[in-house]
Amino acid sequence: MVDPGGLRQKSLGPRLHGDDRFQSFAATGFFSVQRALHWLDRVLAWFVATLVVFLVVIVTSQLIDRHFIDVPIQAPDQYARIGLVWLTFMGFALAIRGNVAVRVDVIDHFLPAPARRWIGIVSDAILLVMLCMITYKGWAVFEVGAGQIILGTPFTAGLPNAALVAGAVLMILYVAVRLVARWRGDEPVPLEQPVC
Amino acid sequence: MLTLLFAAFLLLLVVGFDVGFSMILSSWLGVLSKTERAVDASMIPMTMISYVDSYALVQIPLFILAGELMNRGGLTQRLIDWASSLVGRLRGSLGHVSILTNFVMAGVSGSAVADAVATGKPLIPAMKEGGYDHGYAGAVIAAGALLGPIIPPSIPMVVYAQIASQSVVKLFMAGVMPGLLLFVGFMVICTLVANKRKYPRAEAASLRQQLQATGRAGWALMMPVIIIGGIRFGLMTDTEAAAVAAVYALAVSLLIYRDFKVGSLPQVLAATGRSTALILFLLAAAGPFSWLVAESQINHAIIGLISGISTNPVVVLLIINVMLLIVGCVIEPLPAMVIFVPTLLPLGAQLGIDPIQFGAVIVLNLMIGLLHPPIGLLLFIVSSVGRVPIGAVMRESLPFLAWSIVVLALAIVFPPITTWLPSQIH
Repeated sequence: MVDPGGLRQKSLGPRLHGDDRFQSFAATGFFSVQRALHWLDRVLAWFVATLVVFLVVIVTSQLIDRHFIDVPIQAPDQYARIGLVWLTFMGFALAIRGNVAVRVDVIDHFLPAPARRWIGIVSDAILLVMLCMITYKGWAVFEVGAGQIILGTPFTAGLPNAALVAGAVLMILYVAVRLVARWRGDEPVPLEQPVC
Repeated sequence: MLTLLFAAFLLLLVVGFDVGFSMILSSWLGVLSKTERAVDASMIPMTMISYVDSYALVQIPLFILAGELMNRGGLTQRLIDWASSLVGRLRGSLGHVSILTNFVMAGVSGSAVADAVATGKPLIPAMKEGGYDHGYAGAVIAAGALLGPIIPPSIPMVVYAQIASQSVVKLFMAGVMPGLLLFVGFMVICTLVANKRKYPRAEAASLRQQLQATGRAGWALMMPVIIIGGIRFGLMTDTEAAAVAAVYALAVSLLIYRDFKVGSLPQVLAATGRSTALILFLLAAAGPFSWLVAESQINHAIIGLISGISTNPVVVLLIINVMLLIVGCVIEPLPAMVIFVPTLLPLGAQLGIDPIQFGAVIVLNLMIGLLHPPIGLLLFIVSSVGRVPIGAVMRESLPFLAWSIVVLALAIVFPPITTWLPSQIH
């Protein structure tokens, strides 16, 4: 079976409710969505990998430009900053997908599995609402930035600002899938390496 | 109201909500609850972006990449072989090898976690087979890995520099002497423990064997020299040094040692991007949270509270450090840094504490948190990597932890330990 998004999930016990036919239909749809997301994961991982290469190249070009030959890139530091902002938010979407975000897990050792599950469900629901608000307000920031040129580049400040919106949209998708998985009784397990 | 928001923040942390999102959510509640001098919630995404929109931070993914490539490209293994040839004749030499290897790697990677995994995988099983106590095998790796974020380059120091608007290079230099003190102390502890427990000696390597091992590890040994020398003598900036380290590690792994397959590169790059994002998203979340801290004037309350006890900078630093050591029992170093540094900075400035000393001491303190129970991350990592009971690792790490706290106290009481080297840079 396809391991959806490279995630391994383990069952925590009986599902919440709903008749068997509905559950069967829902499960089929859920796994179809996860299979589709599997490809999105790969695209995202490649995008993040490309951003890292971009940063290496752009920073190295500065050194080459200063000590060896002229590199025809104006304002490389501005490009690097744009790349870094994109790396932050797209990379964090990848981290959300891999369930490796930073959290204090002391309480996990003391709570029974059902309580952990409900805390996870409520946390993900709150996170979804918050991410929607970030997307909405982030769009306003993107629009403001779209009118401000970044000196030395053909871009506007809308480009780095768009990274937050794009990242938040991906996070909404991934958190929604995780929420459904939790609701179905699966506990997300951290993914050690992104799938490329 | 703001007290309630902080209570909400702490509650979110305790129930296991992601640390970055806890900060953002608290800030959002702060914005919504603000009736006087109301602020639009767009401030939150705006400050999130502006906090990571910095050229100085570009070195974080580059140093992480260099560390990853070192570990996967065989450079780390050659460093271990080199260290073994040098100190193999000492009793309990694998402990010394662990510390020495981590000391050299610290000059490249800047990440304690990466160093612990890289050195723990080969060395903990070797120590277990060699008759060393299992807990000691884990503890010595954890202690050695602690050197990573203290000796330059250091990712936590880059993060601190961004929050506090300080020179990254000066902060790097501030970590050199505490790092050396830690290194020497750890080596002495290894010697004392090995002699007491009669750990085995390895066969002493001849001078010729030592030279051969040095030759094989030469390319790896050059990395810290290139990075620190390049920065110190002005040949490259700290960010450029990070890029050079990554390119160098890739070239050596692919062309000279040939231990690294090109096919693995995309995964290494994606993993680097993900690890970077975990750090930088915390920093992004610290943007609106710092606003909340400033708006709540909680820093004034903390300044008033601590100043009421003493206005002597040394005493105040000691109080702050005791507080941070307690914080380190429940919160990991980087989140603790982004949460508390904005609050503590005005206090240091008001009392005239050198900001470089302040930064170095805070980073050292929070990194010690990696080594102390109950959530010392390094303890759990070595326990997992080496399949060693966590209780045994915690027990055996106590001498290393004690020496780390002694070094921290020295750095507080004698400021030149952290300020002399940075003062030599103009």
